[in-house]
Amino acid sequence: MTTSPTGPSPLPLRTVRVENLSRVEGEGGLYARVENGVVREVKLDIFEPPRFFEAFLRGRHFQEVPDITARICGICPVAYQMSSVHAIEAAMGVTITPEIRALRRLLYCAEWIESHALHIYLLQAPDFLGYDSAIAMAADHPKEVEQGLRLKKVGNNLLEILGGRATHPVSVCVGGFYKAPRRAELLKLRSDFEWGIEASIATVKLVSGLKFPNFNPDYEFVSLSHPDEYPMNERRIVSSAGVDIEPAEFERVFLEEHVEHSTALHSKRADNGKSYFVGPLARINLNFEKLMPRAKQAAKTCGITWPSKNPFQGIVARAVELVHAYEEALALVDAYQQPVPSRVEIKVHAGEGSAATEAPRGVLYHRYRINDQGLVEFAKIVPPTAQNYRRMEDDLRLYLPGILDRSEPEIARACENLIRNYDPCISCSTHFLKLKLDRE
Amino acid sequence: MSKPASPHQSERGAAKAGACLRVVGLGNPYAGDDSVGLEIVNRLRARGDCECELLALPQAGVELVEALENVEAVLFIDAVSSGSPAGTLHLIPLPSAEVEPRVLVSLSSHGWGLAETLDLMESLGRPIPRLALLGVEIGTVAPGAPRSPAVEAAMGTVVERFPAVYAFLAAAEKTGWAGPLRFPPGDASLAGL
Repeated sequence: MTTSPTGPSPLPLRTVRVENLSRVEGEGGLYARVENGVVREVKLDIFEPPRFFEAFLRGRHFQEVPDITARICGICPVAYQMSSVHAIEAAMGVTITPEIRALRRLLYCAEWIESHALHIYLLQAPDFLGYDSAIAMAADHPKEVEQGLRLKKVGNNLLEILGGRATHPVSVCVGGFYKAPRRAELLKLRSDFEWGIEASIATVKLVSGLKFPNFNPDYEFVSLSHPDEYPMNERRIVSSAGVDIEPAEFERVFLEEHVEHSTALHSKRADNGKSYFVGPLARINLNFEKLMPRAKQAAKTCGITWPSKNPFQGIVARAVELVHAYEEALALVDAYQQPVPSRVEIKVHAGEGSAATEAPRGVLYHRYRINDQGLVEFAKIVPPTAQNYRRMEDDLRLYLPGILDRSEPEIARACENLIRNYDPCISCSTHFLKLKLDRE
Repeated sequence: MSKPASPHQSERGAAKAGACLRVVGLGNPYAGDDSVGLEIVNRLRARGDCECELLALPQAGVELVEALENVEAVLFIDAVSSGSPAGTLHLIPLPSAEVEPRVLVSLSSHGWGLAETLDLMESLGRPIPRLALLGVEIGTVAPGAPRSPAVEAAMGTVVERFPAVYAFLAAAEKTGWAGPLRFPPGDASLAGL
């Protein structure tokens, strides 16, 4: 079902300001100025302090990088570990074994599960159901919140087995894993995965029945693409506008730039300066046929038309990926062979390499230059949230004119809801929402 | 609170049915004295004879819900700042006016803390265990700084005298303990427990 934003505001000048975005990771706000119904200015004010991780990495040994970059985010540390190890392995010319590759995919499934379950049930569902928080929602929908907590917990438990602990895992290294789990440890979670598949299919049904505003901008979706599987750890970067490149070409096609109102960089297409969209909605739109069978079936029968250009339906995309992650985790555990050894040997030499993987929130690009002592000389990290900021601002320019007849609190809430579609991780990107709206 | 039949240890909040007391260490391992809760749990684990479940949560968000599941009582150990001399120990039943909500909220790096966790559990109709805080008054929380000597000494006291803390908490329901206890730096006896 959809609802349409109503007509432009009769008021000549309005300022919208959301001082602090809630239910996002990190701190930021929103300012907008509207004159005669025309949005003149939109700024996502990202005031989370800059974190300087790229500078911290300089001079550190390459094997320290996955542990340091994991600290960028407590929600998606695996993504930072995966992009960093793949980029450094590219620099060193390292080829990992199929067993290590499969284990890395399982690790990524764990992170998608815990991150997606958190966002669907505790961060975004309250928007659609009319609650200020998951706490308020829990009183009326305890069954759903309990389900979300359990879905997340299984992901945490898997992450703990694979990574040594549920937050900031410590098992990942360049070349593989310091320690690989025994098959029997993973099989203990098998029944949880079977439950998780059914519960996440129920989640798809639940969220696809929500009311979505009728808002369908003309996005350029960007994601990884793999010929044989749903994208997580490797292969080409593609877009709905025809981009099809190796990760090494990322910085030629996508540019980061500083904007005055943000401690995070903003990304854009290098050739036309336009914004683009990364995340679950982009991944599904560009890789629908690669979904696991039950995830694909859930997506096909949920009533959403794919590809979808409605960012509010990102919650459905996230739920479909939850099914996929549980389904793939079960398949990977069933096929699991403990890698022996758990990591390949690395011959240190100077080199430069880049990689992109799919964080829960979208494409995460890393590039490193390593010297002949194995020390990092240069590091570049482009998080998914930073890539989406310009797109979020563009969305707000398009969305605001249709809701200006509402009260200030209602406008602020609608803007926050729009931003939360992107599941922004401001902490990751600084290197959310206060809203101010000026109307003339 | 009865003694557990088979004490066990766990890295994080994988709650085990039947646990009686769970000790949850909180803090930032890289911020000087803020690491005190985590380090006490590590040392209690090394001590090996604590009749309770031990959890270290360096990043406590929604996972705090799991830390409060299936247990009779939970003792949080964390850094506190009240203006007392560094190394002062505070043993406080929760909730308490002695502990400001903003302090509880600061348990989470992403804005989800103990206060939100308790609210959520209440909304869900889940049982809330008896709660207490063992706070260690901090000196410095500078990034990368070593723990201050007074906090190190307080940690030693807690680990050495933990059986007395455990016995006090085990009896607290019967004794009707309701008010905060403070132990100044150097009071290695924890007199009164």
